[in-house]
Amino acid sequence: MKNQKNVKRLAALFCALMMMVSMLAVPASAATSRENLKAYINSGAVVSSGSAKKERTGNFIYSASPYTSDGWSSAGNEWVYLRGRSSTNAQATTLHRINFTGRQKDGNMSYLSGYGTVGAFYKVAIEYDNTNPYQWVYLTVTWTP
Amino acid sequence: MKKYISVLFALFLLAGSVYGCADPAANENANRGSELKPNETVSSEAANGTLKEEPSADGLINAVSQMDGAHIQTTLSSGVAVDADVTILSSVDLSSLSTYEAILKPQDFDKIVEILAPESKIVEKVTDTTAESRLSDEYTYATTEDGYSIMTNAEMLIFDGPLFNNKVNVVFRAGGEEKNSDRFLTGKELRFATIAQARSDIDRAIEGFGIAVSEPVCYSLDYETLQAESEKYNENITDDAASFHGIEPVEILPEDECYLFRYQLTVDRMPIAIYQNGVSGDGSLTTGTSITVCYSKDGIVYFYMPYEFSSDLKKLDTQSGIEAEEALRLLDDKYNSVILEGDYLVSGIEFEYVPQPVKGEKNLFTLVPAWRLNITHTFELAAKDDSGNTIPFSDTSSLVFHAINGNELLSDLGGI
Repeated sequence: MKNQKNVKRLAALFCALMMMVSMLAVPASAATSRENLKAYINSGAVVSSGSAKKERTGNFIYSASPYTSDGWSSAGNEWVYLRGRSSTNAQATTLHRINFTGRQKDGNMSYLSGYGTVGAFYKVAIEYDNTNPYQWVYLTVTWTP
Repeated sequence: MKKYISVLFALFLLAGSVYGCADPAANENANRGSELKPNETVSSEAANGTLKEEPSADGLINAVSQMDGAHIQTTLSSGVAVDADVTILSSVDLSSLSTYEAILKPQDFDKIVEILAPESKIVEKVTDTTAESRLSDEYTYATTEDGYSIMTNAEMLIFDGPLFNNKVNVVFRAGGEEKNSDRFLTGKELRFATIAQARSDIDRAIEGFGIAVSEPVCYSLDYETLQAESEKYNENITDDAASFHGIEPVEILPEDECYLFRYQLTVDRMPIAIYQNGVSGDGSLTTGTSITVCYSKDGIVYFYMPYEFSSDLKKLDTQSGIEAEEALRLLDDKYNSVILEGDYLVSGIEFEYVPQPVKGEKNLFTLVPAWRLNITHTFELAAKDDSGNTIPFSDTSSLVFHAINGNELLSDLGGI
């Protein structure tokens, strides 16, 4: 009887651990794209030239880091807007506003209603926050739709 | 109890390793339907874009070849320099330009399979809702036993597979800061087939769909250049990004050589815009269209087309149009009325038909003849280090003028 209880507890623990694994990992060969993007003050959005295929369900995940040493201030006072776009350049995800504090910025954005279609290709767009104390950023953005 | 913990630990390790090696497509296919959301409010045409959009790997921007055209090199009164090829199809008669009314043509899933994947066995087919279509809120996605997939959302057609998705789409850059497409514009014949043989197969497929196109641009993605470009890509994979996204280095093999063709669509032998046009928020925003095909030793391994118009066109009126030089004068007038900072160069002049959605109609467009002037703006911005130094930048945009009445066709693609 006691053994059965232990088995149940262990099974529950195992399930919980498996859920954690599935939440943290991105499948090794999920389609990912990477691009270096420049954005300027008062210049609107810049959309990636490349796109990546959505091969899995779930949110649009991204990483951003400076491409050059001065590409993105590590003081945390230089903000950039970021959003996923569909292949037809429609806004496809929620909007994120991110800064850099010395470590790659990772995040995930949920899709807007009707987007996030598996099999479709998605781009990424960034826009400079005009309230920043500088005039431009030069980032490397990696995204997995 | 220790025994149970050992078993649990072993199971955990085993499960983790299995998950890491699993085919993601297999995992995703099992869940695909449940997370797709219906859309009631967001239209693919109601979104913002940008004039600074760069051409994409699925949208290679380059002048369509075999055009009758000229080269203009001058400096305008506004100070704008011009060093541009004039790209215009030989079938365009500027003394007699028509405006058309056209409708989008829905794609037929079965026909796509018949033409692009006749030997492939479809292992899964999903139909769900999407906001990425003008014609329908439904899309179909299917995967084949040999690793290809087909997606259509009524007007769009995507056929793709591992070579394009995992290698070509990663290494080949048609735009942006890392553009390398010019390195492949060599006319080189690849080992598995000549350009003519590849072209012949692709043309047969395009004819099968009944799509009218002009002469294509062909990129030869040879092994050596692909390999060299993949090394550049691999060098820039950071540990953090590799860990977060599961990125692996791209390995190019000799059999990965392929051609990439880009065709401009035509109606009534008139070229349809490959660029995005219109104003965000008023329903006029329209993406460009073209056909991009990747052809390898296995034949067509990628085929992408955002949309095509039905051949049932209605000719609205016919008038004489303006020459490229007149379009440049219109640009000069505009730039004379503003203070320009930095240097402006008109680097390309293209004649095209711009689709403009008819207000209140879901699937009705006016096709307007237009001159597109591609502009490169170079300027300087302050460095971030308070040194007083400046750093040079450049930016691209375009101005589009109605080729009959000379009005500017506004492009305001909005914010992010």
